[in-house]
Amino acid sequence: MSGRSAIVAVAAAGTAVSAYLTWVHYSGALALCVGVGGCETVQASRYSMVGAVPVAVIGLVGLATIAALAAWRLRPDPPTWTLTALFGLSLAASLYVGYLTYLELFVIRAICPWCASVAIATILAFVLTVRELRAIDGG
Amino acid sequence: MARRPRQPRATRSARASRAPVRAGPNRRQLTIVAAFAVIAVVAVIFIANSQNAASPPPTASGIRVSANVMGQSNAPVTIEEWADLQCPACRQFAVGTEPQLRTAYIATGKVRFVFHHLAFIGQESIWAGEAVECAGEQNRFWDLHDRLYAVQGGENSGTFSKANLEKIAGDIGLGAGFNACLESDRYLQRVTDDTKAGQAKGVNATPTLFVNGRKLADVSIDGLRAAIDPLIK
Repeated sequence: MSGRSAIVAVAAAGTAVSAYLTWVHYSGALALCVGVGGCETVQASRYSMVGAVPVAVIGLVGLATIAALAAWRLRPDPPTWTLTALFGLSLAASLYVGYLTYLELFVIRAICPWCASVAIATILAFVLTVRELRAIDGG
Repeated sequence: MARRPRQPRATRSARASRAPVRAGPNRRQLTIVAAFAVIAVVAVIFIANSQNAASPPPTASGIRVSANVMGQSNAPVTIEEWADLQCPACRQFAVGTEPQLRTAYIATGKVRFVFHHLAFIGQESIWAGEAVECAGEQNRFWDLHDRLYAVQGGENSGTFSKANLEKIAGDIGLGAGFNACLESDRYLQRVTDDTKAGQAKGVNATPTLFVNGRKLADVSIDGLRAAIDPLIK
């Protein structure tokens, strides 16, 4: 799998999990636990919202945009700005998921495996984007 | 593609129109974008934190809360719940029905929801009741309420011993002030007064709900819809 395809794949996976968490939020259902507790605690915490916007929706929009930009870059000769945007967006998203993971570990003291998987997908998308930038810069 | 020296931007643009060239953004562009990304994230975190500090914390559905009350004070419908934090049926209501109620009615300003203690199962019901009241001092009543129902164990089995309640509260970030509050029993009177008031109202099972003062027979989400919807039309 090429680097560009890998960005699409991880961002799409993150988008799918974010979509599930958004559904959990609006349906009032409980997130399926996958071996580690803390789903309800994270879900019910005050940090699950930014103003009136659920964090899950922010993740959904951010990762869907990253996936769309990365998919665009699968076409021949994609515009340069798509890579710049991908870099900026995936950097911002990685910083934000880093902050949210800090909150889970040290403030809420509960880990939501779904949120952790979104964080991993986001950081992977950023790392792969940086790799592509370095490849172009060096290539 | 063969390695080539970096070229001025205009030259690279001109070549891009003639043949496929793997041109990337330059370092200056990336630095500016990275700076914007950092500023944007810091701004979002700052806004989120200032909202949390300035107002009672929202629940998962963004609902404003104050002690044992959830929702807007001018909501047309008030639901009062009488429950025991050790009661399995109350847990079922809290994890199954209440999230739907929060999303559809409380978050939308249609319903104000009030929790009352009917601590009748045993000593651990009273301690758990005191614990959520102590959490309320830090505007975390509903956070601990949700957490206690999530971890509910056997009745009077030690799940809600004071030591365990302090551990559970610590797990959601309630600090030393919580422990001092729970040890002081300062909310014991409130829990027992609530329980007596509920019994005086004829509450003999939990959970019991009153919708604008009328006792509800069916506490399922369908029963709640049937009771609430005519009142908000």
